[in-house]
This record gives sequence, C-alpha cells and structure tokens, in this order.
Amino acid sequence: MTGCKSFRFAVLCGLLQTSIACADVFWLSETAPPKAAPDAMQHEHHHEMPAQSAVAAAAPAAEKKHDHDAQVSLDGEAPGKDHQPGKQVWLRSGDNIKSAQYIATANSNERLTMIDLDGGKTEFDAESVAGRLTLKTSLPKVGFYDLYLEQCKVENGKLQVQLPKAELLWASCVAKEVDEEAVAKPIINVNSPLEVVREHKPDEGCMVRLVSGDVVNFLVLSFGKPLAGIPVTMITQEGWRNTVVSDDSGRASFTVIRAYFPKWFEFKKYHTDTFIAVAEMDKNEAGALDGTPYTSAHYVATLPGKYRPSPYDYRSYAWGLGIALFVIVFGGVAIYLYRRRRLKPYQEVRVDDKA
Amino acid sequence: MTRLEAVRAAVNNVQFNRFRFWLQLFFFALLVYGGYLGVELGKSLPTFACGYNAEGRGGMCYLMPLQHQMAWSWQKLFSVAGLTVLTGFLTFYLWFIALNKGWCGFVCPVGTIQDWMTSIRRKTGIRYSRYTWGQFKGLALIKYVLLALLFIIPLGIGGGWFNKDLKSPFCMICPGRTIIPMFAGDFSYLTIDFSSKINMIMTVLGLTVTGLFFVGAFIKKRFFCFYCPMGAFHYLLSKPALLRLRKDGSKCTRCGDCYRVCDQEIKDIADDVNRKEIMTDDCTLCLKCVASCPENGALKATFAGIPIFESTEQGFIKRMHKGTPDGK
Amino acid sequence: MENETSKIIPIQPAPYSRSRQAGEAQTMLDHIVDDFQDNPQSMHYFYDLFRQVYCHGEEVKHEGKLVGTTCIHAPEELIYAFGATPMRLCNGSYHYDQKGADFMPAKSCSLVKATLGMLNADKVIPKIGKPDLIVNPTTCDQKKKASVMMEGMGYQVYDLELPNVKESEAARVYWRRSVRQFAVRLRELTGKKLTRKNLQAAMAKTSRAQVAFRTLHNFRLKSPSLILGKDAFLVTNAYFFDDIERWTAAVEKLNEELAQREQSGFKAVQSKAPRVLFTGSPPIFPNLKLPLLIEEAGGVVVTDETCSSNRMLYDMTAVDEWMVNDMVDSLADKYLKPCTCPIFTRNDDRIRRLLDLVKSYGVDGVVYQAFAGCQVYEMEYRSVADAFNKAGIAMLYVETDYSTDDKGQLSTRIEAFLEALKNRKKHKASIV
Repeated sequence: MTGCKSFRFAVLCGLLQTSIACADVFWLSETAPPKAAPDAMQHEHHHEMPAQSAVAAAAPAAEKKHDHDAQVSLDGEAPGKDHQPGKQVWLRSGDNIKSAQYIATANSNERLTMIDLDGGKTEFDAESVAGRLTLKTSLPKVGFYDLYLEQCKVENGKLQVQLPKAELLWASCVAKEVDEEAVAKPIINVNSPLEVVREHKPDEGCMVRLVSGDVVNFLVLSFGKPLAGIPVTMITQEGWRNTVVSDDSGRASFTVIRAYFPKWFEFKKYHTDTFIAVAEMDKNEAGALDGTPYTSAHYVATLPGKYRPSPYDYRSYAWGLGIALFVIVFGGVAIYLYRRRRLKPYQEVRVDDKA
Repeated sequence: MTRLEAVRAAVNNVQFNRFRFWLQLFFFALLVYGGYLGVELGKSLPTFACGYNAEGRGGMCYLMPLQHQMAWSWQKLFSVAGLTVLTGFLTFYLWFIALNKGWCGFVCPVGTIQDWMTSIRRKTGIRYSRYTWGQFKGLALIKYVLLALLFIIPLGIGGGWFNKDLKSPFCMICPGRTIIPMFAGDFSYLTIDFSSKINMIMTVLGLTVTGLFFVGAFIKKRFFCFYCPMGAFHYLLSKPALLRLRKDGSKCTRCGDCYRVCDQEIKDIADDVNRKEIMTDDCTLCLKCVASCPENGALKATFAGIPIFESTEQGFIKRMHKGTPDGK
Repeated sequence: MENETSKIIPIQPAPYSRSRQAGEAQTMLDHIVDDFQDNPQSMHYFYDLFRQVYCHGEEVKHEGKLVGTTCIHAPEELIYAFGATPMRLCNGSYHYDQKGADFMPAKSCSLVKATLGMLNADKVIPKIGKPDLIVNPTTCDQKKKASVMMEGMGYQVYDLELPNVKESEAARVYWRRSVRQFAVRLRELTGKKLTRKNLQAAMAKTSRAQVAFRTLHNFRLKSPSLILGKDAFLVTNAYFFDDIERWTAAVEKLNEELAQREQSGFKAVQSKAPRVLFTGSPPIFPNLKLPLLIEEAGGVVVTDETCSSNRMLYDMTAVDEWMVNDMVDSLADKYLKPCTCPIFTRNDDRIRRLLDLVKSYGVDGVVYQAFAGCQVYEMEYRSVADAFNKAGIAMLYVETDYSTDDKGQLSTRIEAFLEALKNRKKHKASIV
C-alpha cells in the first residue's frame, strides 16, 4: 500500500517536475491533538498551570467535548463544530492527515490574519503551547472566516514559504440574518503570494456541506490574481491523493471520492472526512530573509476541508415513496372496503352467558 | 344606520368561505414562499410554517426551535442560556395571543393543504367520513400524547437517555416536513434515511404519517388537526387570547347548523348552551360555525372583547341558500 | 252510505258549500276577515284561498305523487326532491273531529281525531286527492297508534321512526338512518332518483319559503304590531296544502305591504294592546278560536311557538358540502335537533326558545293552549309555568278542544287575562 502510494507519488513528481516536499506541508487543523501524548501533557501541566494560560485551560475542555461525541471516529478528524462560534486551530505538518505532527513554527511570534466576509481583517498572535502552535478564538457572528498564517525560512539558499490557511465557519440552521450572497463568495487575501480558495457553490449557505461525489473547485491565486499551471494536490484523510494543474482561470477541479465504507449498523451520516488541498509554486527570485540570502523561492499554500458521506449512500426515495404509496393505497382500499361493508344489512347482536 | 353599523352589516354578510379561501391562500404564500421575497417573521410562529422549507419559509414553526432547545443538555437548559428558551416562548405566546387558534383555521399551511384536498374530494363527489362519537372521544386524546412526547423526548436527549438522532421527534413524523418543502421544489424529505436505526424508524414513521395524511385528509375534513399537538398546546395557553369565539346560549335553538359545517365535528358548539367561551381543544377557530348560524348574535368572534364577526339571519341566508333569490 | 232508502228515493246530495262543515269554515273566516278593519290587502290571497278550499270545496292542484304528512318531522325537501308534493294532514275541523271520535278514546287529542276523521271521510277537505303515501313520524302515542287505523282505511302508511330522546348521539344516528330509509321509500314510491340537483332545488324551494316566513316573522317584532296573529296563523296554515311557490310569492307580497306599513307608521293595534306569545297545541284553520278570541279582546298575538307556524318554518338548514349525503344528513339534523315538540323526554330547548321569544318580541303575556287529551302538552305545562314564574311573565293556561261550546267561558278568561296584562303594563310604565 505504502509502496504503491510512493510510487505513484514519484511518478507525479517526475511528470510535473516539481518537488513536493511532503513532509514539509504545513496546514491548519481544527482537530485537537489526541490525549495520548503523556509526555507533552505532563510537561504542559508542570510548566503551564502556574502561568494560568487561557489556552491551556481551554485545551482539556476541547478534548472533553471530543470524547463526549461518541459518534465520532477517533482515528479521523473531528467533525466540524460548525454550530459553535468557538474555534481552535492547530498548526500541523505532514501530508498524512491522520498522523501529521502538531508543531510550532520556527519563529512563533508570527501573526495570524483572519479575514471575514466583509473583508475586515483581524490579527492574532500565534501562541505556542507545549510545542504546538494553536489559536483559540470566538467568531463574532454567523458566517465564514478565513485564517492565514505565513511562515518563511531559508534553507540551502532557497526561500521556503509556508502559507497554511483555514476556512472557519459558524453556521446556524435557525439564523436567517445571514447575507447569503456574501456567503456564496469566497474570501480572498490579496496580500498572499499564493493562496488556494475553495469555490463556493452559487447557492451555498451556511448549511451546505461537501459530500462524496461532489465536484470541488479550487482556485489558485497569487495576490488575488488567478495563477495557471500550478499543480494542486488533494489529499484525503484515508490517503488518497490526486494532482491537477490549474487551468487558465486558476481553477483545479476534483471529484470528492467516497472513502467511507462501514458496516450498515456502524454507518454515521455525520461522519466527517478531512482533506487538504496543497498548491506549490517555485519561483526564481533572489533576496534575503533576516540576513540570509536566497536565490529561489518555494511556496506551499494549503487549505483543509471536510466532507461527509453522500446522502445517496443512505437516503432512499424508493423506500420513502414506496412506504407512503403503500400507506395511501392500503388506507384507500381499507376505507373503500369499510364503506362497502357498511352497506351490508345489519346483523344480529351476539349475546352469550359472558355478556 | 351609522357607518359603523353599515360596516358591521357588510362584514356579517360576507361570503365567508370565499373570503377564507383567499385569506388562507395569502397566508400560505406568505409562509411557504415568503422567504423568497425577504419575509422573515421569526422562529416562533405558532403555526406550521415548516423550517425544513429552508429557502421559502417566511417564518418558522415554533415547535422546531422548541424541540431543539429542549434537547440541550440540562446543564445548558437550566443556565442563563435557558433565557433564550424563555424569550422564544414569549415571542411565540405573543404571536399566539393575537389570533388564538385562528392560526389553525386561517394561517396554518398544513391546514390549508387539507382544505384544498377537501375541495378536490368534493369535486370528485366522494363523500366525507366522520368519526363515531366513541372514536371521537378516544382519538381526541392523541394530540395530548404527542404534545407530551414532544417535550419528554427532547428533554430525555438533554438528559442523556435518548439518542441524539431522536431530536425533533415531532418534526420527523409531522406531515409538514415532507409536504411543505415540496411546494418549494424540495422533494428530499420523501426519503428514508438508512444512516441509523433511529433515523430509519423515524423517517419510516414520517412517511407513514404522510401517507395517512393524504388518505385521511382526502376523506376526512381537517384530518390531521384532530391529532395536532400544536392545537393541544394552543388550547392549554388560550386563556388570555384576544380572538375569541363566544356563544349566547339563550339565542341558540340547538339546530346544529354549526355542528354540520364543523370540520372538526365539535358537538359542543351546537349542544352546549351554558358555556360562553365555546372554543374547545379541537377547534381551529375557522369561524365557519359563525357563518352558518341563522340566529342573530348567537355566535360571534370577538377581538379584545369587540365583536368583529357575528352570526346574523341575513348573513346566513346570503351564504347558505343556494338557489334562493337572496342566496344565489 | 247506500242504504235501502236511498235506493228507492234517490237523495240529491247537497252541495258541499251548504254543508255544516263548510259552514264551520265560513263562520271562522267571516270572523277573521270581517271582525277587523285594516286587513292587509295582500291577505286577500289567503282569505280567498281558504274560502275556495274550505268553504267551496274547490280542488287544489298538485304535481306528482301526493305524500301526506302527519307531523312536521317528515322532511318535505326530500318529498319535493322526488318530484312529489307533501301535504300536511293535521286538521283543525270540528266536523272531522267528531267523525274521528270513533277511532279514539273519548278524551283524545282533537287534532288526531280530526285527522283520522278527515282521512276516513268520503270527501276530503282540503280537496287535493288521495295521498299515495302517508308519512307518519312516530311522535306522540296518539299519532303512533293512528298508523294502523289509517292503514285500515286503505292508505299506504310509512312509519318514520323518530327517537324519543333528541340529545343523545344514538338518537342522532338513529334518526339519520330513519331519514335515509325514508328517502329509499320515496324512491320506491316515485321511481325517481335523488340527485344533487333535484335535492338542491327542493331545498332552495323550502328555504325561499322559510326566508319569506322569517321576514314576516321579523315584521312582527315591531311594536305596535303591523299585522295581527290571526292573519299570520292563516298564512302558515295555508302552507299545509298550498302550492309552495305560490304561497311563497303571496307571503313575499304580504311582506312588501308590511314594509310599506312600517314606513307609513301604520298601527294594526292600539299601542297599549298587550302582546301575547302563543304556545302549545297548534291552532289549525278552522280552529283559530283561541288566537281570534285574544285579538277580538284587544290583545295581539305577536309570535308563537307551535308546530302549525313558527316551529314548522323557522329553523333553516345549513349544508357544508352540497352533495346528497351531506344534504340529507343536514336535513335530518334540522328536523330533529331544534324541535321543541313536547314528545321528547327533556325539553329545555322549548323553555329556552319561549324565553328568547318573550325577550325579543317584547311579550307581555303567554297563552298556553293544550288540547284536551294532548297529554304531552298537558304534562309539560308545569315546567313551562315554573320557568315563566321565575322570569316574571304572566301565563294563561287554556285546556280546550275543537268545539265552540267553551267560547263564552274562554272569552271571559281571556279578557280578564288581557286586562291584567294591561294593568301590569301601566303599573310598569308608571314605575318607570
């Protein structure tokens, strides 16, 4: 399995003449690190408790919530907490979604930028907790928010720029005061040298979910302008990956695969799989970062996303209509027969010694 | 005749069924398609403005958020967040007080659909069905059972006794969920959800009820209203309502004309000559009884104590007498 | 009939108009017409009708089969719908009362005896023809037992089963079945079908008549009265046998005249004339003895609660779905539920109705007529008297029959009663 994957990966790399530094893909995850990291946890307790960090206090709470949701498969990503305004993201590194490391940036004083639907910007300081970069925030109102991180370093004379991004959503099935048009338009960061944007569906409200079988379009943008010829790789939680080169309008299309095959009685329709879309770009540019010169640059932009099983996997019109029709026909016939029977002459009332 | 008297006479002589048909159509459009026109009456409507009709709804049936909120964890429900529940209920109550059960008889889209089905049956010439008195008394209790379950099951979810898939148990069996979205072109609620046992059972129940609804409402006037927990809920809260149905027993001849036209087969309306407030738990306040009463002032609808529609001999003759020179 | 004498000496039968029976009618009609001034012009239709039918024995034409009814409980709309004509057989003639005495015990209801006497007579007045079917609702005992007697006279009789209790659901269900079966019987009789169209037309016919009646009734709300009670009784008595459409047109014409009278401020009686509510056994022409005595003594009958007038025509049918099943059931309900006949076990409805009439018609006193032998009315007297006592309304209870023998005595009682009412009215006015 692994061999096959790496083989295909090698082929892809060869074809596209790019070097995807798989281990060096940074992305923002909404899933809390698993509990089973005793060293880190203890470490955290020893050192952070006196500090009274808000983040530290929040982290166990989030984990508790995670455990409480018994329906969630613990090996995968947590389902979206889309119904809550409270969000926490972690920076992770690696293209294996299940096992990607929780990391801190080399220089953790870098800032996170959040852009809301109206284009308003909020800056956050990234915090490093127990060697993990995380951000806990609460969204001010219902809608989408995009969160950006930029991390640069020079390696072997080459500038490595990591541009992880996350699309945060606070959705509500009862709120109607949402500007539907604004929701349908994706948020774009015009200051980002490379960005992957998921194209929203024209009728996409807060409640729309991506499901297996859907076609998802990614736009590759640089400073808000579409970029052609950039390879975009979609990597799912179960390890499936595919690379498509962006077309003239910067678009790369994927059909979301079905990767959820449980037994019937274990099926969860809210089962959520995670994917990440990775775009990479090499640029010949020279400069210096903090005094270290470089002659070329490598940009990696990521965008994680979630998808659910297709309703066609568990919903059946045939059964639904069949049952309704059966009841209608059966009921209709029963009433007809009852009415017919009522026309028959009256029969004697039975009386016996028990009466 | 003063102008007020002239207006009153005109109102009392109105061709009531026609008036009601158009009013119902208006409210149907408002609640089922109003969303497309930007109508938003909130989430606490005391009528079946189905929330599953996500795009078109012009407001939302209160039972949906109510069940949602009842399913909160008890910790949350009995905390400050519980205030949200209270404000929701108060909004619902204010809406309700204005029209009382008139929400059922004039506004409810599910009720309107049933009235349309009755018209279709009438065109086909198929006779209606009625319950026997024994059946009536027994079946009338179902709505209270449904109302109790509507609270108990979500509360049980919040208490951790029931599976979360059981949330909104009444919505799952309500024919509004399957039928109203269809009017906005959404047929997806006609499916059975096999994703879990509970979902499967609830959707099977839901579509069974939908099937029963079509058969029942076709041969029985306002079939579903007789079992509607919203109607039971209304009745329990109806004490301070503004729109009321009143009867003057001394003017009643017990001719039973009102009972004849009653979609809900309420006998009290004709037989009870002692009670002044004659609205019962099965009543939908459609006011057809007032329109069909030949005795001046025996039945009347009042709003905040002011009579707005009163039974009159003249109005009765105008409405009821097909083929007579006065009645057409 | 034909005996030995008539075989030898053929007797020329005297013309009907000179018979004692015609004389009875003539005398009553003369009183009704000539004892009063200012009779409405349009009443002449009814005076002439009764003169032709009751005094001259002229024929009343009818369409289709003739269905006799012995009570208001027989749904006339159904009879019309089958293309037949209903005729109310209840009779008010003293002549027939005596003839019918053979069938019933001595102390029996005059009305039943007169009906039997009429049916047993060679010449039936009103002369409409021999009923093809007599519908006899099972109401009071005397009418129930009359069934077999009528059959013995060679009539086809249909017992329309009426429950004894009208409040219960069982009674309603039972009565609906009865009415449906009656419809089936009428289909057998006429060979026609009951359709939506013809039933609707029949109901329209009746309701137009009812609307005319109600309009007339509403004119009687006016004080001082626009029309006398004796005329109103005559109008509703004509409904028993007259062609319904002609009758309705005549009443509508009368109503127009009353409307004119109202505009011109006409008074049919003096302003202080006591207003009387008439209840109990039904006055049927020519036995309008009691209402006539009241009005000759200066009172005015402003409304009534009797099955020859108000109870017969007042209650109207409402239908939700104009389909045969609903129309027939609605009719059934109308003929049972609002009925204030004393044959039912309870009779709260009658008392409520009486009190409502007293209130809305500004009634000063009530005259309660009970035919000697009409047990149900006699038995109900107590409860009604109690109710009026409580309400502070004076009531005169009169037990009488079709004979004119007690006229003098009744006249004295009525004059005294009316005098008392007048004094009471004066007293009340002076207090105010």
